[in-house]
Amino acid sequence: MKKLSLKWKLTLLYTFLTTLLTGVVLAVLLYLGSGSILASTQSRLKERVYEGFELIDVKEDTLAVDSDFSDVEEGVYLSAYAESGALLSGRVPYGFSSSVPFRENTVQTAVLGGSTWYVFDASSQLKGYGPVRIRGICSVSSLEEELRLLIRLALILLPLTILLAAALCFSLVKRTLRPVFRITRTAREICEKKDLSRRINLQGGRDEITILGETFDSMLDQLQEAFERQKQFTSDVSHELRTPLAVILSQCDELLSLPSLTSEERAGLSTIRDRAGNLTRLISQLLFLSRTDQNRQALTLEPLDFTVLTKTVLEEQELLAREKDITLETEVEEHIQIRGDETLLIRLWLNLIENAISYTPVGGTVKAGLSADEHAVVGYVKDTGVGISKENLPRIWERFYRADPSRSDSSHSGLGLSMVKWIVQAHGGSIEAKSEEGKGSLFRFTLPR
Amino acid sequence: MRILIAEDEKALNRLLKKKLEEQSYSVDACLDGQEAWDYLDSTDYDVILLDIMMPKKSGLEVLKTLRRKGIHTPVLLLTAKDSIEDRVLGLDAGADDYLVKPFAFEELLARIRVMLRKQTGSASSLLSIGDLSLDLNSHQVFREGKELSLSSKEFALLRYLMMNQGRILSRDQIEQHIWNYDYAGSSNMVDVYIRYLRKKIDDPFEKKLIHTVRGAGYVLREEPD
Repeated sequence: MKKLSLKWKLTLLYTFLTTLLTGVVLAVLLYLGSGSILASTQSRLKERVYEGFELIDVKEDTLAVDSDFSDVEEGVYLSAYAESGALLSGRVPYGFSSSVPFRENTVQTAVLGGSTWYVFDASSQLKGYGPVRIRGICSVSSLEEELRLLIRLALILLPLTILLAAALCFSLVKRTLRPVFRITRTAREICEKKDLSRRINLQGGRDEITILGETFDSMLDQLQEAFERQKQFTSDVSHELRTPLAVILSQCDELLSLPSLTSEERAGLSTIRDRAGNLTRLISQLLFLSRTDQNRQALTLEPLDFTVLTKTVLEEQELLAREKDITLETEVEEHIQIRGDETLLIRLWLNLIENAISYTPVGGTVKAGLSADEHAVVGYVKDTGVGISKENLPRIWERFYRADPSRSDSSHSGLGLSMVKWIVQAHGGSIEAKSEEGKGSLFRFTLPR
Repeated sequence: MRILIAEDEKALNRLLKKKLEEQSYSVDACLDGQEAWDYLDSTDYDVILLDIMMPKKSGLEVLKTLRRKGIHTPVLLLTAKDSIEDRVLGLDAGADDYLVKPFAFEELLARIRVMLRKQTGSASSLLSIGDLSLDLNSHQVFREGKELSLSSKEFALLRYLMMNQGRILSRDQIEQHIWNYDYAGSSNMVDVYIRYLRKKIDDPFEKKLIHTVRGAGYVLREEPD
């Protein structure tokens, strides 16, 4: 029962109830019906017997019986007897035997040769003749036959009624539940496509499901608004912060150009300038990501030599690696042409390698490579750094996530890998990270050609 | 070369941004005078396109404030058909040129090139240093008579260097003039691009034109032998 859908459960329940009700009603009708038919037959029998006396006259000491007396009217046979039991007039149905004893004023039921009969006797003193008995007989078998027919009809009608009821119930339940399916479908679409702008839009009707749908929609309105406000907030705040930072930077530059500064003042100003620069960069990255959230970050696709691009970045990053006494090994295949956004692809390499260098201890090795086949370009960056623990590995793509929170390296925003992931995905590719704590990490991305 | 567009008509604003970006300019676009002022306050631009009729702050107000502050960035006014008065006021307030809407896009590009040329003091659209030349109109670059193919950002970078040849340009300056506000900054993107450009215009040739000035930035110049 638990596995059945609501649609089937309701259909079964309604069908069962309909069957039960119809059955009960039919049974009661049949019972009452048969009783009243028998009762009315008995009273008809009595009536005919009493009428029979009126059809007999005494003329000059003999009985004059009207011809109507012998007619079988309303299934009732009449016969008149003398006190001795001799048949005077009338008819007895075929197969009925006269062995049924005479019993006045009661309806007897006689079973003879497989047929059932009602027998009613009455006697009267006819003036100038003496007592005459009249017996009325009527067949119950034909009545029972009719009743049996009725029951048979009911037995055929009942399943038909059940089937009809089931079909009607099913279509009705289906129609009633249709809005529920729509609610489910909309919710699923929102989950799959991450599109909060979808609505259920149940129209008309004031039933409970329509109201549920409307409530759902208004909840979605609020959700979407909150979501959009949050995105807008990031974008607004970043814009608002950028202007004063630009002023701080330009003021620092102006002051630093003064020849009269002491070395201490110069160092202090430089620190302010560097930090402000880092902040500006962080805000730019936040804005970048907020544009990707709003699908507003455009790609400028150009055909480009990915080999040259990669080598250029690696040569530049080698300087950075050398400062930390890290060996940067490269393995770049020649002449790899792709279509992509040049600045973003440079960004991809810069972030991956900066990341590797910053998590690799002095004296370590970072290895980067690029290769291609007909369908895809594969790039990787491998380091002998601190690595990432298994439980943290899936979290590295999150914004502001840092493997080691104690690191206060302010040039590392914690946004680098989020950007990397977006860049790869925006080019239709994918990226994976493997890592072993204490041994190092491997980042490998694949871009379609 | 970085251009600011202040135009409140959204469709035109978007179109201008798109078309100018196709010409390797880095472009910021805003929809009203106040926003335009915020942008101008935080970055140097090479050319400003100002619509006169704008909400919050008119183009003329923005222009006047700009000139009062001693900023001489070339300004091109975009004006409606029937406002001769505005144009006169605009030119008097310090605009360098104007265009009447609707205008042909080719004309706008030509006017921008003229304004950029004026800054460098060059009379033709061909910039050159030594045996390296760059055509502002056709976006072609030649060295020793051989055409070099550059990506759009490389072209933008070389154009900026050539317009400022002989001047030492800091990384920040380069970053600001090559990328627009939407660019998510990175510490050594400029270095990567300079290296990139060197591979194309310097490495295959004997005489080097791009030079690193330690602690200051880069300069494009002919060094004496």
